[in-house]
Amino acid sequence: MDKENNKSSKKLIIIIIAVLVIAALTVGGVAVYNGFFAEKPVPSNGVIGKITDGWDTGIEDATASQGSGIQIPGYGSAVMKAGDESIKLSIGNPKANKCGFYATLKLEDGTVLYKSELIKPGYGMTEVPLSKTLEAGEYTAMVCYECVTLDEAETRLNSAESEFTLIVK
Amino acid sequence: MKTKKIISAVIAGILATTAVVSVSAATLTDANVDGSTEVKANIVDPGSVSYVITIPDTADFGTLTQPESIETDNYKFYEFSVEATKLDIKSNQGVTVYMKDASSADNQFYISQKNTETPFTIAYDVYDTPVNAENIDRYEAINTTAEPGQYGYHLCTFLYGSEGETQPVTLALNQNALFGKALSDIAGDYSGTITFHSALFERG
Repeated sequence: MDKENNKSSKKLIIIIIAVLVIAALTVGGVAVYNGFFAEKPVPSNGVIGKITDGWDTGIEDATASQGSGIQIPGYGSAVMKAGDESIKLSIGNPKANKCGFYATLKLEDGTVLYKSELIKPGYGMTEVPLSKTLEAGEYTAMVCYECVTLDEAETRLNSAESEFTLIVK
Repeated sequence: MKTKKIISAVIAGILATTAVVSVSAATLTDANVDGSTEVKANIVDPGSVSYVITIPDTADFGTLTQPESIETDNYKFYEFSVEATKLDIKSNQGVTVYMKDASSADNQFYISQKNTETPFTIAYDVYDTPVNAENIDRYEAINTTAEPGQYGYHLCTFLYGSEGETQPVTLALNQNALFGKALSDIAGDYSGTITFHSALFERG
């Protein structure tokens, strides 16, 4: 009887180990798949508000414009927490441009949250410091790109506003 | 019997764990429309660039000429286009574009004399189609027929899949506005700037 019980226990342990191994392989496989094929995060330059070289729109090859003109980045939404002093938002000047940008992040009611220094083509940032914190809610916001020539005169060119929904959680 | 129960419990637990992992493994993207499952919210990389439009750098009419007569119109035209250079949006989304004069108080479009205390200003019209002196009578300017909104006049909408498409625009300035003016008062460089407003929207 004892021998039979012993045999049964061994069988049970072997089955449990086999099932655990299969489960571990499944979980591991999914994790590896995600690691290889997940979308790459927006690269961060590491310093909030620091305008650095090597910025791009993150959309593959946005340089293929049909003619001259100014490329303006647009956004769908941005998310931050109530009380945050910075926001993940990719503000920059596409490298195909031949002008400079002064970027202003503001709310629809005119509240200015950030104003940049001159952003040259190919420069930008992915995390923007805010001049004030916001309460939880959904806001209409926009990045205003004031375009200027790159010479000393910084002659004003046409400008653009990219509207998006700012979600504060 | 007891063994079977234990095995069943272990397998049930493993299956439940695997199901949870499978759900978390689904990669949701803005543009991910797969069969009957449509992701409705912008949940991947909020704050990243969703689209790129290309606007003209200036609205330059070149050298204006004072007409000797105003019996006929004396238009000067400037053509450009607004392009949907890159669209990384969902199938039910689009990008709408408005335009307005950057400094006008009455929702009309002007160029102004530069470097003078009391600048002379000249109004011009905006057409959302190619226009010239021969056919201008057949079209109506958007700034004379449409009601401006908060961000100016609606120019165009780029829907999902319209990447690379362009919206032609013609600015038309009737030089008759210069007729009879003293050249010493109106001579000089003129400039005006346009602000283009874009926003992502969802249909339905």
